This record gives sequence, structure tokens and C-alpha cells, in this order.
Amino acid sequence: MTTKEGGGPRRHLLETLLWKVGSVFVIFYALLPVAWIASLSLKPAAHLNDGRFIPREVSLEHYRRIFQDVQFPAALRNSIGIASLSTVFSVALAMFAAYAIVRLRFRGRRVILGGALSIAMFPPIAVIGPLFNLWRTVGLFDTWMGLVLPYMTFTLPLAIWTLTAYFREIPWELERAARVDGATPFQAFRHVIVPLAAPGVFTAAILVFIFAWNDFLFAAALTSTNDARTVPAAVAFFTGSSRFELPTGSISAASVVVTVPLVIVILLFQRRIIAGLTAGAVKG
Amino acid sequence: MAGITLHAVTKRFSGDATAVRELDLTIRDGEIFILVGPSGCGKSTILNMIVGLEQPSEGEIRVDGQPVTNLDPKDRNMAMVFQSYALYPHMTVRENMAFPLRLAGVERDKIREKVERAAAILELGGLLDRRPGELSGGQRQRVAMGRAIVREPVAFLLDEPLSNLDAKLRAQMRTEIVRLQRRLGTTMVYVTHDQAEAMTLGDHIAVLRGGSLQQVGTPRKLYAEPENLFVAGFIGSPPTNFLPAVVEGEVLRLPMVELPLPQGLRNRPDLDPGELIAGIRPEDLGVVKVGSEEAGTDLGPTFRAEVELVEWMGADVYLYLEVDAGSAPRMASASEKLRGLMQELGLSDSGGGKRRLSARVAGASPVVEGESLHLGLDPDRLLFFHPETGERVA
Repeated sequence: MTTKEGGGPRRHLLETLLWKVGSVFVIFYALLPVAWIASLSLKPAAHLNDGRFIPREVSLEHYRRIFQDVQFPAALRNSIGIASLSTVFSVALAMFAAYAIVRLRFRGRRVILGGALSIAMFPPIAVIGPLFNLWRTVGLFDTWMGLVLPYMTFTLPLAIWTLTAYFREIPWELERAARVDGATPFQAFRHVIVPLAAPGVFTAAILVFIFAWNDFLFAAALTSTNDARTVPAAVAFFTGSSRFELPTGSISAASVVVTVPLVIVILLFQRRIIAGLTAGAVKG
Repeated sequence: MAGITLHAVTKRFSGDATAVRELDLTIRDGEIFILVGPSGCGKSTILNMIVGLEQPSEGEIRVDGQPVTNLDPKDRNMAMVFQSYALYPHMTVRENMAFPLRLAGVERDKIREKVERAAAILELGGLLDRRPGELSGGQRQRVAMGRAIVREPVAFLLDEPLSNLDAKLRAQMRTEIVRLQRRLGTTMVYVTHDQAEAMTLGDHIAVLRGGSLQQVGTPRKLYAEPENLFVAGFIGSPPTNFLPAVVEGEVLRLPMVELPLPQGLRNRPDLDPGELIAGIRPEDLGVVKVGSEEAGTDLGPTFRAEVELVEWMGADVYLYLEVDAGSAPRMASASEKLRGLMQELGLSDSGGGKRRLSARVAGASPVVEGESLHLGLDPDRLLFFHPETGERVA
């Protein structure tokens, strides 16, 4: 074992121990509510209020119930579609914007970055009312595009800033090398810059996807039917089997179901975020 | 394979900065042409204009007589090696070298064959499936060369390709580059700030300073017949010694010695005021006497010098000397001119009543620091420059 700062192996051991204890604590703290929801979703309706963390009996009745209902599968489809479209559009646009901001010298570069930031600071609730009326007039109310557009608008600043920061770190001499090697400006971008910018692009994509996936405000205000209502909004419309029953079990099951795609997306993209990808490009 | 000509090329960047001024250059087919100069002299800008990464503000560039001034880099079929190598980090060595061919739409089998041939020439065979991050500096340099030669370009453009390598590897790669170029016979334009690299590599050398061409010629010509003070000071190691000089009748007065008038200065009424700047190559100074011991051949008039520092290089010894400049001719303009030049070339300026000289003598010379020497010099080997313009007069 290598020793640093003369502390010896004991110091190293203590460091490892503290790191592990800290990590376990943070994970425990963050995952406890999730585990509770998962536990609730697996309890049969009669045991929901028994106050036990581990279910006495495991039942999938809530899952069956939400998928038998027409509302939830439609909402899930909407959520996946709307969040994916928002991510693709937003990241694609942000890539071009960030590329231009980093690479080209033009008037108003700072204005664009500043403008993007001011949009990010703008409270979404302030545009809900006008947007509601506007969308009803132009026919975007309760459609996928009616949600994709505001999601793009509010995630673009974040994506542009993230990508600008990433693009600044790219060794741009590679682009010149590609141009000399016979690439058009677009080929240089596609074959050389995009693979190097990929970690940044995936980071931006994750952030945009999470925003769109989790949003409740726009989803609740700009939809009215199963045509475009996303899961967070749909969950609010869940009802119990009678007026005296709270839909706790169904809500829990729906929460677990909507968390799964998010985890999958993050795990998928995380594998692409490889640190040190640019090592060895320049300098000896 | 192509000759490249630049005609009245000027490059201005936004603002008033002029990187290259009215440049005329002829690069012959199949030669190694060196652009050399201190940093900021515009040599990299010239390279970028030749390859098409920058557009000249004025003037014209021709390749084999065809104007290419406004052609996109991808249509010029030139290969460039960057100072940083600029390898694509996400591609293996094979993919890096195949990249230009892939863009050119060469067939897969053909690409494989060409990459493997280039890899064999550069001894990269075992590294083809590694990524640049796993290679040493010298190996990366080779890959960059490989990417350049693989598609048989009309010219190689190298931008300080060896400056990131250590001294030993640099010398080795230098000979390898020459060997490669001779083998392929492709025109090579090579940018460097190192005059030793320029002298050893180049068929022709262009010396640049502040965006202006100072002189073009073979290494031998630049060394023997520098056209001005700057070239004389830039070429050679250690650099040329510059001293104020005065012509008085049949005598040439230097700060430390009086010499018979050299052949080149006789019958030159145009040099009437008689004030000049003399340049002495360190290798033209000879040790005549160490202490009281005779050491070398008689070189005519001698002068005394104190040895301040001795650098033993093996075959040669560099001596840094101090001479008494008691009888220095007073020449304000020449001194000003010299001081500016010395600063630009990064040389120490001599002040006060003493002057510093450097000499390069045979390694066998039994000279030690602090000693007193008698030195001689051949007046006909001196270089003379106009004190105002800096142009060589004889």
C-alpha cells in the first residue's frame, strides 16, 4: 500500500472507512423515501396503513390496476414520447448554438448567452396563463407539441450553457487537422468534434430529459385528456375504488413505474460519459 | 508533388496587425523548404495560408502554376503535421491514419493496404490498434507523420513538428523526416524557430522577421552571405558577435583591435563616413596565445581577452570572453541599432567599457575560466553592415 503525507496505512484506512460510511449514509438518506414508495406499492390495499416498512404480504394488485386502467398506459406513452422529443430537439439546437458561440466570432455572442440565462431564470408559472390561451387559439392545447415546445424553451438555456462549457474544452486544432485531412466543415464536426463532445451532449441530454420527464406544471395546465397528459399529471387524476379510499397504492405503483425509465436512461448515458476521452489528442 | 509560389501575399488580422507583408516565395518541387524566424514572425500564418486554413488578405498562391488562393483546404490535397500532432483521440492509430483516405472515399481494402504500408515505413506496425493516449510523444509524432504520408499529398506542411520532443528524440526524428522526404520526393514546407534545425534540414531557407522576408537561400548562402544584421545574428551558434567599426584610411578600427582594411572595404567611396557594424562569427576567432604559451597559427593583429565562461561541447569549446573596449569608436546610431537587435535575438548586451565576445575553438584548446588569452582574426572573414539600414555592405 502506498502511503501519503507520512500518515501510513492507518491514515489510508481511516480515509477509506470515512468515505464508505459517508457514501452509505447519503445513499440511505436519498433512497429511503424511494424504498418506502416501493414498499407501499407492493402492499395489498388492506395493509396500506399498517405502518410496517417491510410488507407482510407482497401483492402486485396496484400494478395490475394502473395498467388495466386506460389512463396510465397512455400517460406513460405520452411521457416517453414528449420527453424524448424535447431532449432530441433541445440538445440538437443547443449543440449548434454552443458550437457557434465557442467557435465563431460574431456580434451578440454574449447577448445570446445572457439571454439564454435570463430565460432560465424566468419563472415558468408566469407564462402558463398566456400559453394556455395561445395554445387553445393555435390548436396546440392538449397535443405533444404543446408540451415539447415549452420544455425545449425552458431546457435550451441549460443545454446551451452545459454544451458551451464542454465545447470550450475541446482541442479545436483537431478541427483544423480534419479540414486539412480533406473534411468539409460539417464532416469535421461530425467525425471529430461530435465524438469528443459526446460526453457533454449526454450530460445535457440527461438534464433535459429529467426536466421534461418530471415536469408537472406545464403538463397539468396544458393538457386535458389522455392525448397528451404525462404521468406526473395523470397521477393527480388517480381515484380510489370508492370515495372513501385514497389511491395511495396506485400512486406508489405509478411512481415506481415512472422512476424505472429514468434510471435506465441515466445508466445508459452514464456509460458513454467516459472521463479522459480527450487524453492524447494534443501535447506530448 | 508540386512547386508552390506565393506572390505578394499579405495577411492582416482584424485590427491593424499585419502578420505577413508583401511576401514573395518560390518553393521548388520536391525540396525541403524551411520557414524560420523568432515567434510572431508570421511563419505559421504563411503555412496556414498555403494549406488554406487562412485566407490571404492580398496576393496569390499557386500550386504547380494553378491558383489555389480561394480553394478550400480539402481540395488542396496537402498534408499537415501540427506542433501538437492533433491526433484524433477517439480513434485508434489505424483509424487516425485511415481518416483522410476514408474522407476521400477510398475503398476499404485499399485503405487497409495503404495504412499498413505507411505504418511499415514509420515502424508503427505494432501500434495500429492503440489510441493516441497510450502512445509516447515520439510515437504520436510518427502517427502524425503517418497520417500525412498515407494519402500521397502534393506537399507536406510541418508546423514545428519536433518542438514537443526531448533533444535526443528530436535529433533522431529530424534525420528520419529527411530520409522520409528523400524517399517520397514530396515537397515539404517546414516551420521552425530553431535555426539549427533549419540549417540541417533545409534545401532552402526563408528567414522571416515581423512578417517580412529577410532572406531566402541555401543554408550555406545564409551562413556565408547574410544580407542583413538580423540574418547574420539569427543564423549560427553561438550567434555572431556584432561590434561598431570605423574605417580610417587603410585601417579598420574595432573596439579592441586595429586591423588592416579588408579587401571588401577597399575602393568603396560610398562608405565615406566610415562607420559600420562589423560581424564576427565565433568560429572565426582564433586563440593565438594562452598566457605566454603559443597556441595557434598567427592570424595577424591580436588582442587580449579575459575568459569569462567556458562551455565544453566535445569537439568544440565555446568561450565567452570579455575584451577591453577602451578605444571604442563612438557611434550613437550603430549602438542604438545593435541594442534593439540584440534584444530581439535574446542576446545579452554588452555595456560599459567592456565588450563581450563569444568564440568557438577546437575542443583540444587548454583554456580555463579566468584566464587571459590572445586572440586573432582574419579581417577578410568579417561581415560588414550599414549602421542605419542594417544591410550588408561587404
